Amino acid sequence: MMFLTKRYFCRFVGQTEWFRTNSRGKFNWDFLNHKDTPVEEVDMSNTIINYTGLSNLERQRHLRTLKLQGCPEVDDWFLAGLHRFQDSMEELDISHCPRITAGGLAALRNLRGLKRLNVSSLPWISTPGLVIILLEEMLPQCQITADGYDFESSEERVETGR
Amino acid sequence: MRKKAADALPGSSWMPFEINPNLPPETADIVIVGGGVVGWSIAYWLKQKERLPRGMRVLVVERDPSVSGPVHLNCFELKLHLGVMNEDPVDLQFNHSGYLFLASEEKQHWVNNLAAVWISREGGVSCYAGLENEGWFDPWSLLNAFRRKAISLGAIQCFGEVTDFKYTTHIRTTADEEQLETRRIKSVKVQMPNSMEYQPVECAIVVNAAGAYSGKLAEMLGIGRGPQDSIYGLPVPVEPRKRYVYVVHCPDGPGLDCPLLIDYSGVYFRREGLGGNYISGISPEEAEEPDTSNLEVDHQFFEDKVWPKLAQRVPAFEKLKVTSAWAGFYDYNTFDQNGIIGIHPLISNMYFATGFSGHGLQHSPAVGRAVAELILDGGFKTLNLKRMSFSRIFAQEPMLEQNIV
Repeated sequence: MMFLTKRYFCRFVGQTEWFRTNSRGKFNWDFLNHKDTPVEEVDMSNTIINYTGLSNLERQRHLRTLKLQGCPEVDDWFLAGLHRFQDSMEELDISHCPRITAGGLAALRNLRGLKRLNVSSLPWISTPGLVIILLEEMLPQCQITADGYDFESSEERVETGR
Repeated sequence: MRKKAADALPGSSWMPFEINPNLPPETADIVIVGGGVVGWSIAYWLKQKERLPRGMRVLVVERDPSVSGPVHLNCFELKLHLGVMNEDPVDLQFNHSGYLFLASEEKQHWVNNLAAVWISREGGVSCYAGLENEGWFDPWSLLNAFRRKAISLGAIQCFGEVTDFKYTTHIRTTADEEQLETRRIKSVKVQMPNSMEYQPVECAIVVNAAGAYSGKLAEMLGIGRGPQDSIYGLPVPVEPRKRYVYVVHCPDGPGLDCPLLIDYSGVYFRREGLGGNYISGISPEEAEEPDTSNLEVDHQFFEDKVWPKLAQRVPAFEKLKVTSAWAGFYDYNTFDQNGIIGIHPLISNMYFATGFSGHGLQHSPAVGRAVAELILDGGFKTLNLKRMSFSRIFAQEPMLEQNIV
């Protein structure tokens, strides 16, 4: 529960309310009532969470949603570490994370239960059209969102001659 | 007239003979023979550990100016610790697609839950695959990363071939009261490529990271050329073994989650890039080892030995086209296919780091550090690799590496 002291949001199993920090960075201490309840959704967008920090979520086997939009330290190794949640994870948002490459996206193959994946605006993906097709093949049950790419670029046309 | 005289005297910049700028220096503290990934890893760690900046002259001698040797055989496994490299961000283009070993069903301790639908389960199959931190990367990037950093810290690169040694001989008495003749290298003769020019380099320590040629290098010092039953008669058991790698294009092959798959028939393949290309190969049977006098590729070998097994395991591979191929040499340890690290009892100042039989790349960061510790600290500090020393070869106790692909 260490990371809760940073600007993260989370929602517990069986609850509909989110615990968030308010505008002054203060947290509602009611979460202590749910000390042993598993966490279902975590929103860590725009934070500096990294691979080492992932160990804080080690025991959360019911984690269904993980939002990591715009996290500068989320890289390919972090994605590989997500295999811990392969039984429960249904939604993953890794858009705008500057360090992710196609090699790391391959690590998502373990998340067989994934239903929604957001890979918008990843600067290292030079052939987004091709990568999206490959992701769709790899995770057929998953709906993939990929905005913020220029699909008309010529590099695209060269690579997709499969 | 006075000007001409001034030119001819020492101290001026004019010289009647042309000095080859590519010659190595006349002296060095440590000469590393072999500019492959293991050699440069050792150079990097030596420079990293030296307590006085530029206090130690490290020279790396590589015989191939294009460094096109075993670096190209890029099929292997890597469990990489984060932040293993120097502080400059190095992009090794690591692909997290994982490693997959297939076995026949007899291997009961292996799992039987192959998720991939494009694999044929004909003949019964069980598999072993890790969940995290497994995949492949670009070996050229690693080699260059070690090399660039080592050179920036003061290591010197030289292209040439070591053709001879000058050494002194000492007679020592062993604990069993026997006389043992040991040698101490005084200088290394480095011959320039395609030339008769050479430079003897006086040195204190020599590292044998010559890969497939390590055995030959040791022979120059008499190892393996003595009487059969004596310690001098036992050669360093490393020989070049030629391996082919073929790049194929298959339009309907496995996708992004294609791991590096190693079938129990011996054939292996992995995805290369995103455009439907794959890299594959197979280790030949002992009796069919190709001739090692050249690096020509045998395309018939692919048709006869590789393709049928590829198609058997992945039906989609029945329709594929070979787009390119190359050959390289493994530094094959004929004794137990495992690396040899440490000093040879007969040569007081030659450290060996060879015999990895195709696994040199994945071991290179650790081996580099281990050898640097042996040389500078007098013993292993981080990882105890005593079991990889020559002792097991003399005691005839192999430490078999069974997963050589």
